[in-house]
Amino acid sequence: MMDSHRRVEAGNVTVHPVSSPFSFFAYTDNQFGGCESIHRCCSLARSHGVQTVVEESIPAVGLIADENAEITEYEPDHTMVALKRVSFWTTPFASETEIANQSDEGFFGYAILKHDRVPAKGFDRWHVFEAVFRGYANAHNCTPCTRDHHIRVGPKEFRISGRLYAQQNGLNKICAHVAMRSLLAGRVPAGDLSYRAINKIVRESRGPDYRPAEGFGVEEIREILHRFSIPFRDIDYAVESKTTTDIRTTHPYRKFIYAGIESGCGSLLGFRMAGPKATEGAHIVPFFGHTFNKDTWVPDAEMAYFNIGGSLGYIPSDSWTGSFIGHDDNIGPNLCVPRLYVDPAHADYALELLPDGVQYGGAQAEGLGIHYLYSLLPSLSQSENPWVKRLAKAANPEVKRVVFRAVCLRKERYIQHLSENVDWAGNRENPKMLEVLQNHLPAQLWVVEASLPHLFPANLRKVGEILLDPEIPATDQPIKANKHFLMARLPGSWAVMKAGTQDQPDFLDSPSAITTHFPLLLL
Amino acid sequence: MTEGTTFTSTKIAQEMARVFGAQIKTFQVTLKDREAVQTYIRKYEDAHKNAAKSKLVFRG
Repeated sequence: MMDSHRRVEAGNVTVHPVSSPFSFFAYTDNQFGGCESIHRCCSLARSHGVQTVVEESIPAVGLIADENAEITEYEPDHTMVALKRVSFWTTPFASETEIANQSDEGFFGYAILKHDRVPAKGFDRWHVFEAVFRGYANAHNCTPCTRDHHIRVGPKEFRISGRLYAQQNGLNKICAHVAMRSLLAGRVPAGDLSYRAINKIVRESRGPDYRPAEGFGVEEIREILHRFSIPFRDIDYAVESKTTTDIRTTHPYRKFIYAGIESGCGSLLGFRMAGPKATEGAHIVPFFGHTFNKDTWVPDAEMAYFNIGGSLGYIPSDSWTGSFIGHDDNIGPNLCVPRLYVDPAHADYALELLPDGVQYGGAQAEGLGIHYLYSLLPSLSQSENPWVKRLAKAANPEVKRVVFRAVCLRKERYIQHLSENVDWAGNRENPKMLEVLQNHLPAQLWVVEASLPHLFPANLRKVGEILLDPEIPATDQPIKANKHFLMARLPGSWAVMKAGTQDQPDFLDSPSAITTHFPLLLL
Repeated sequence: MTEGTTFTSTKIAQEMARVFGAQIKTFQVTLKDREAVQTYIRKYEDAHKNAAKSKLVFRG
């Protein structure tokens, strides 16, 4: 049922060649009531050189039939006036018979557009039920959270990789509903999430008189995630600022958003609107990617410096992030929101989704990684390796210019990363070491990569990393007992905690065949 | 077993000693700023627990 609306056979099929003089503006204004989010879909398509649009009339099945039934429970005079499956192609063709000759490579994306009418409310409107578009094929766009979607166009099925976008309609779904569906589609066992299922959970919290147009809040978001056993870390800044007045500075929202993106799971940001929309209540949007600008001024200008406490200052890798990539349901899909555009004073809520089984978030992993690396480096200061020396110098309390980046991934992916890459001198890691890692590392890892300001952005390379166990809770006792630490890899060296006391553990240092810098982990 | 002994990666240490033998060196490390790290990380855990008290509603 969950994807039957994408695969249902169409009735009427129309192929539109859309090169000049075809006007997407006129098409959207005339066919779809000038809906803003549909304008966005078309302008996105135009910017990627789309040459053909296939417009199909489809019956309401699966999730869409379920939505119609649900809306009628709230609005008995609801009717679905029309339902269109619109696909966008970078290849030129002019007839329905040519669809069978198209391939996934020419398929830029699709949108399912729905026209609903509720006469008693004066409601008569198109909206985007869902859409998936390819991201920019640009090395500076990092979108590790994409999923594959299979969709029928004409007689054939195609595959598109992207992040599902959905728009609110104010009838059975508002911003929170569509943000949750976008975030969780592909993560939940059924492969997608119906709005009826979301509203059922929300109603249990808000009471039997709950109407979806009222919206829902953090309490229900957390309950939905608990029901699907999806781990997360979140923060409500209004709650925290009652006891910690500088919480927006010490634990900024961008750390949650970035960490969720980097681990491939995604994140949510809730914020108050400013300007004319200020009275409309808080809004929430999902993020699933970011842009990366290797020439960013900020880190070199020492304005990106972040301090955990004590002598533990560093440059977070998100300093080179230009924008977060996400959906705003009333504007459209695949939008770049400049990293600091949302004023921290207006950011009320941030949530980082975690992989299954993971007990703490990326910012916490960074903290642990920094703690262990800065502690290890003085012991390695006698090393002759020039990269260890550079890292030790950058970690000096007077300098604090190490770049850290935390990524959560499966052990096999990490070992593949080590075995498939070489360092700058062409060395590969010792296969015996890879076998030790395979046999003794846990199934998942937090890998906290350490680099330098002129190595990380320009070359996408690192000096070393700290490996942490992500499935041990980040509470005081395990931290004190060093339970999270697994290993540290630095040029020429693997360091493992052997025994000793909690404050002064003994380490084993065994040789690593990797002696210079190494590529970053890219999911 | 000494009081306060950590066991996090003992098995890995034993295996590495077995595989790499004489190439292994041992050194001791004094872990720095432990309180600061615990405080920083604890704040994320506290914030996560406290978010259960949130009254925020999204309807925009």
